Amino acid sequence: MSRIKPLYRVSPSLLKVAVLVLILAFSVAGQTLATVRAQDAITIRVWGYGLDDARAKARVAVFQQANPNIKIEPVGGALNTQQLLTAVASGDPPEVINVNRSQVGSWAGRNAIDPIDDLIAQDKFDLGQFYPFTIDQVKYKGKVYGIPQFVNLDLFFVNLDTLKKAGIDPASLDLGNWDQLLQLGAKLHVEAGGKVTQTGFDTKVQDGRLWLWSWANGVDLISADGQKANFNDPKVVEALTWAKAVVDAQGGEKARAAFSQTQNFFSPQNPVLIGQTSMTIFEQWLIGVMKVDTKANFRTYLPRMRNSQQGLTDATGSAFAIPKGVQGEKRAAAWKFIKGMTSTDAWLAGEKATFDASQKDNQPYTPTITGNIKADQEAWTTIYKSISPAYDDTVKLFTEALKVAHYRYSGPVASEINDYMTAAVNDALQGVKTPQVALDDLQKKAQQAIDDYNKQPGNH
Amino acid sequence: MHSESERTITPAPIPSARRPQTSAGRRRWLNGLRWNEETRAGLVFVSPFLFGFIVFTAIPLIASLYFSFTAYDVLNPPVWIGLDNYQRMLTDERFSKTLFNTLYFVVLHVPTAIPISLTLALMLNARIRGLGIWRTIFYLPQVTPAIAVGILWLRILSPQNGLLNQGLALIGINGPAWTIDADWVKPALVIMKSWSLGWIVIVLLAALQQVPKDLYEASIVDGANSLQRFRFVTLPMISNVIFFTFVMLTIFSLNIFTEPLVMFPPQVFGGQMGPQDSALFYVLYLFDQAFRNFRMGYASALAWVLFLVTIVIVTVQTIVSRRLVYTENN
Repeated sequence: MSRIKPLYRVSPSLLKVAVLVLILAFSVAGQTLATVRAQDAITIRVWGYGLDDARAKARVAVFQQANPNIKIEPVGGALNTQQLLTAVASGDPPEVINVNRSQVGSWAGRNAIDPIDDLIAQDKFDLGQFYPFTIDQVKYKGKVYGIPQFVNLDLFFVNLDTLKKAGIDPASLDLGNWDQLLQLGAKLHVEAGGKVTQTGFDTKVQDGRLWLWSWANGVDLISADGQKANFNDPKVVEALTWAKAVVDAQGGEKARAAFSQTQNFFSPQNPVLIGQTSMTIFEQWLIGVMKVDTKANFRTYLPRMRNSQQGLTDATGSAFAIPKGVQGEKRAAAWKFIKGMTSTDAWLAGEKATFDASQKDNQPYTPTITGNIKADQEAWTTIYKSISPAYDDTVKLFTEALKVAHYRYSGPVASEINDYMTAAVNDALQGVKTPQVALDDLQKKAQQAIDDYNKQPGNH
Repeated sequence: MHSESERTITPAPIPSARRPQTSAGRRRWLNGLRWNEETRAGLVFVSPFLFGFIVFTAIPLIASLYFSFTAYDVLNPPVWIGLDNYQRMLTDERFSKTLFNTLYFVVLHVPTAIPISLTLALMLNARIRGLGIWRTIFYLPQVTPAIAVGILWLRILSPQNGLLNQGLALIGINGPAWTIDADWVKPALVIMKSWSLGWIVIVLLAALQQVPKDLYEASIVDGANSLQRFRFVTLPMISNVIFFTFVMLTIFSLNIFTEPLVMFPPQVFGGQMGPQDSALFYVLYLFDQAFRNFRMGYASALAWVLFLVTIVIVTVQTIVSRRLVYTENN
């Protein structure tokens, strides 16, 4: 059988060259395509802020309408510090994080987030559109590290039904009178079968409100420059001694804690709403939970300075920040996202969407405090519709509260000091130590934490 | 060309009489050993483990030892501070508390868990109806997510309206504030952990089934009653397995993490783990120092101290076990 002669012969060398050329061609084409795609769409990862509610979705929609080439990959839920720490350390951080404003100093002090003053200056971005205290909260060593979003304010919630039942006239309430608050707490406290069934007055000192009561007594727990702890100042000792007396007059800390474990502030069975708690300090967003009962008989007040009619509140919230290591077009995209999300238009779209979603669920709309002054004013006056005097007065109270907002120390050792503080407060409330001894110990530890941080190279 | 890893393979010792005597012969023998098919195949098969071990265990282990002598916050370069981290532990009240809590838990949990598990294993080893179902039921908590178990037990242990205290009230006992009272938090955790002993039960059950039947038959012939059979046959024959579970449970208990975190999250107690930090266990504190307080150096030192504590405890257990554990040799 004769072999068929090939029509043409390709030398092996030529074949190799051809394959090489093909590989190169595909590689170049692939790279070009990737570059084109990269120019078309930039993906930024946003950690600590989910898009699972109407407000967030609407804000993102406004941003994306103006920036269709920026794709958002959100990771919701609270910011996972372990994840962020390792991401920054490995050089692959998310482009944007939503961080608690009280932690901005901690992250900035460790170079985990970058200042954004250059971006602000470059765009002549107006920081005046936000409440001044929120901007102060995101500053560290004079530099701005984030753009604020959301404000939570402590208000004094009172269930009027429980007051009426105890024969107390709400008009007689004097929130600057600590003796009266102590007595009212005892009077409104109810037990049945040896167990608490109604809390009279919860100072929330066990939940970090030593700050609030110390301010109310005229002292800041940490000096404005973040260098000096004042935890054993006589005024602070006085505040904690009073808070302990309030708890003791209502069966003690263990009884309070046992009862509070059965309560759920996030449910329709909210303790203030159903009268399980007569008077308490709580953040203003609680009305968003209580709105399930539009006829709820409650009232909110601004906490007062001791023996004074001057109001005060504890303000918290979060901020968008850019982690260290985000550069170039990613940083530019991150900045666009932050600007877009905190713009008046985005916030108003968010509030309108929240209003619509509430209507759809046959629920009234209760506004949030965005941090953007113009958006807040417009939302509270035009989007919010009257629910009842109790809700209307609370929304009106926001403006007054924002003028007297105080905020906690947010320096590099804030979380450590917070741990020491809560331990000391709980020791005092449970009678393990006297308030004076607990606060003396706390003072030593807090000052030591500040000094230790300063001692580390490059930290002072 | 031989790779570095191949060069470092140590040849298995062979009798000197069989070793090649000349240098050329020795080289040929070594080359042959290095490159024989079996060695290559062995290397290929163990390479995933070796890679994983080196990258994810050996290097981090050595790195953590180095970091324990530094001030290191992960984000900035470590600064050598010698023994400062170890000295810090001597004055750190929370460290003392956490060490006490952990050892207290181990002492309370391990000696109670083993008898309970052994009792359950003995019951499951009996010839009873629906044995498969019972075994599944007892093992079920083991495969239930720790978070679900934690939340469930938080409700059972609630001092205000928990099932446990309601049950105790029926027999006239005023139950303690399990989750509120610092003195009762650790016993509460021990009760909760005793619910998830499925793995020990399975291991002990397997051991029970390995006890030769003829030993029981011989003891019956000798007139031993059931208690004596348990004391003089069963216990010695499974003592090595009991010792194994004892050691493993001790190590697991020293590393307890998830359950206290779920039941006593710091936000509930304002930064503390349980009332007065009564549920602050060693690894939780270590984690807190590393990732919340940015003290990776101190956390590394804590990790090494825990390692040493574990070594000491296990060594003591091993020494004591020589008198108590029956082996083929003794």
